[in-house]
Amino acid sequence: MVRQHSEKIRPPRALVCPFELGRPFGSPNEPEFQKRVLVEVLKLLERTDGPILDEFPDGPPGPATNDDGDIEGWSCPVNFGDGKKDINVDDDPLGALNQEIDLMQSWYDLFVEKNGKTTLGISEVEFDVCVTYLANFISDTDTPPPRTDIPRHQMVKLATDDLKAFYFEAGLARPGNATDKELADWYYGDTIAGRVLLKVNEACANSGDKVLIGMSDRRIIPIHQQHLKQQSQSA
Amino acid sequence: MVKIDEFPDDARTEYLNREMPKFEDTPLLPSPPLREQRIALISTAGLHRRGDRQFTEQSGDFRVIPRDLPDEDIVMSHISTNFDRLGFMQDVDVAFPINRLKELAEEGVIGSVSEFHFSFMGATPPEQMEPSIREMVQTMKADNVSAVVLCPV
Repeated sequence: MVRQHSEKIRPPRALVCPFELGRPFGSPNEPEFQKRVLVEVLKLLERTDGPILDEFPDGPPGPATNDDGDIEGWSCPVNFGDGKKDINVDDDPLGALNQEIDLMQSWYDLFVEKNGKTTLGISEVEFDVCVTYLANFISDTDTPPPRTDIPRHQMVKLATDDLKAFYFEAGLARPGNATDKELADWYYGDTIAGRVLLKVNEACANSGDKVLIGMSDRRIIPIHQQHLKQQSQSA
Repeated sequence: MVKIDEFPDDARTEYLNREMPKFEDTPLLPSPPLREQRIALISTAGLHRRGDRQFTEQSGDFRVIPRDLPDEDIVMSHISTNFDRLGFMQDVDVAFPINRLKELAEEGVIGSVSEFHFSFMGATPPEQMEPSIREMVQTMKADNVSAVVLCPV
């Protein structure tokens, strides 16, 4: 996926693809394009003039973007309507998070219905138990984890993955084609879940546990959202 | 979009200049015609069967993904937060093109698809994967795999 890395490693045959990290075969639900990429890779097997470092000529198919590189038409999936109690995440993170999740539930269900599958469940713990664990972890990093067969830091990571899966899949069900960056900007910047994750990250950083401190560097908040950590700490 | 040029400057510089394994030679071997090849996929996306052991920090071992595992049972527990997962949420083949590979076999472009495919978790230093890689190779030889497609994320 990264030309500079392949140039150093010099594998026998490599195809550099100008796609997003995480999408080595281009775009989802674009089988003909994916097959083109795969055939280009396989055809390298018939050559012996290596080390070969070819570049796939085309970008991935997908909807047009505006000048900022964003897909137009996607909107924030949470709409706090009348009758919803304003729960302060600082006072009651679990209550605030559960209220938001309740608002997201139908969008998540629509995603599962449309795609026939979900990536939620990687922790192998019920979703509401994951949510409760993360909310409790903020005030007490020693709160009993729901699984005892894996280390605590892994439980935290898997619970954050499930929370993210729920929100991102709900976001994908909305009209428009959101990019990963758009959804991340919304998730980490605008949602209760994002604020809870920033608090979880801060709890890891202040835990005194070397592994949790290491996780707080980049394992919970992605590189392109790191600026939010400073904002959260100064708030 | 999650592209390296959108990383903050310090992270981008660190990522691009990351130390890579160096090899004295390039073991490029001539290969049979594509239509005779039996192909296996090797992913570094931290993929596994739903219910299999999740990957964690420093996991150097692999998980086996059977050829006919339904898409909905292929899940991802890579520890990194820095690559796109939306594509995989919607379509396994964007990261792990097992269905495309089967189509190529049906069309006669390749000979056949290996019975087993493999995934590592790419955030682990490669040298820690070496014992597992040797074990994986033995499994592939027993399945008459003639070539692999490495699928990084």
